[in-house]
Amino acid sequence: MNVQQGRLDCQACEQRILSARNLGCALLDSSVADHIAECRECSAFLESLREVKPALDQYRVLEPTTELIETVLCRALQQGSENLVPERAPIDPGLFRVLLASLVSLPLVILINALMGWAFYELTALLLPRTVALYCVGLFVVWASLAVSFGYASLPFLGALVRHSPGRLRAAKS
Amino acid sequence: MSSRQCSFTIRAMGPHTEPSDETLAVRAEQGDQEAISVLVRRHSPGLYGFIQRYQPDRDDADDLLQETWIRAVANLDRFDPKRRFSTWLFQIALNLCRDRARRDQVRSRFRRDVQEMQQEKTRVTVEEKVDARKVVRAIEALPPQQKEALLLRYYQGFSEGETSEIMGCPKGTVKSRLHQAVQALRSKLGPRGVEH
Repeated sequence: MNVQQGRLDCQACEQRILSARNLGCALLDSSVADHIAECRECSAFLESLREVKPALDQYRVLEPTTELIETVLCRALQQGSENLVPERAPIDPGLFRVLLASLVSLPLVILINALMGWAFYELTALLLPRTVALYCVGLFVVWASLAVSFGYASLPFLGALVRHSPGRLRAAKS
Repeated sequence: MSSRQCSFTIRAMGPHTEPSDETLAVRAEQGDQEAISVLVRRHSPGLYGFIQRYQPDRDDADDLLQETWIRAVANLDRFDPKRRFSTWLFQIALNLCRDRARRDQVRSRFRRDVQEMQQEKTRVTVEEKVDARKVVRAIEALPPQQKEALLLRYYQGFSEGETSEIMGCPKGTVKSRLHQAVQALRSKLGPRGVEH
């Protein structure tokens, strides 16, 4: 309640007048009565409200029916479920292990591919002119890089496939 | 701001074992369907009362109640838990009511059949029925902003600050609109309802 130096201000006085069930009771409160005696605006408001209050209190409304509440509830819950965004699935530990193993072995994969490229170059250089041999090795490097990249990129998708069909995976093992 | 935060803390840690609206709203935003259910059951009666007084047509009120909740649930991520949930909810309802009223301007503004049904259901006397209809007409005839201030302040019990937040206007404006509304009703309804 807003009280300024022990006295009600207009806002607090108006609030008490509005919330009083009986306006006679509002005046029983000495702080309201004191304020009303001094404030012409609040006094006029009380007087006006005192005249219309019995009429205003006759304006009754219906409670919502049970059916209406159920309908509202149903639609609100439907809306609530539509709001939900699917949560991001946590990283599967199995997939994490596969990714880790493949990343650890990546230098070895690169080394093997490099050795294969060098061997391929040596072989083609014996049979073909040097320029053509370099071209063939270049092609080999491009295709090998693509294969390794796609191989690694497919790991999460393979992991997702495995995660969504655990039953089939177990059946295959047994 | 500080009083709002204070009241929020009191509600959240008060003696009631039931979680506060704001806590439920946060849980609902995270997908807790039970929280949505509690909020709907807790606030629908008050919200429906406000909508009915704004839009006396029963079918419109039913639609608006549903639309309000759907919009509220759809926008829960925008709700700031430091604010009062009811204020935010009534803001949505008021915007929808305003939109509907704008659309319905061409339709008849005096749809009283529903009100008659209401009075019959609440088993009031013939005299009260006539008075209630007079009140409905008088409130309907108020300028929209005065009507909003009256409905939110008098019937829904929102504070001046909350009403200003819902209506999107300064506190002083809420006060003057409420006073104008009461004054207008006094001149329309006359001194018949004087309390003795």
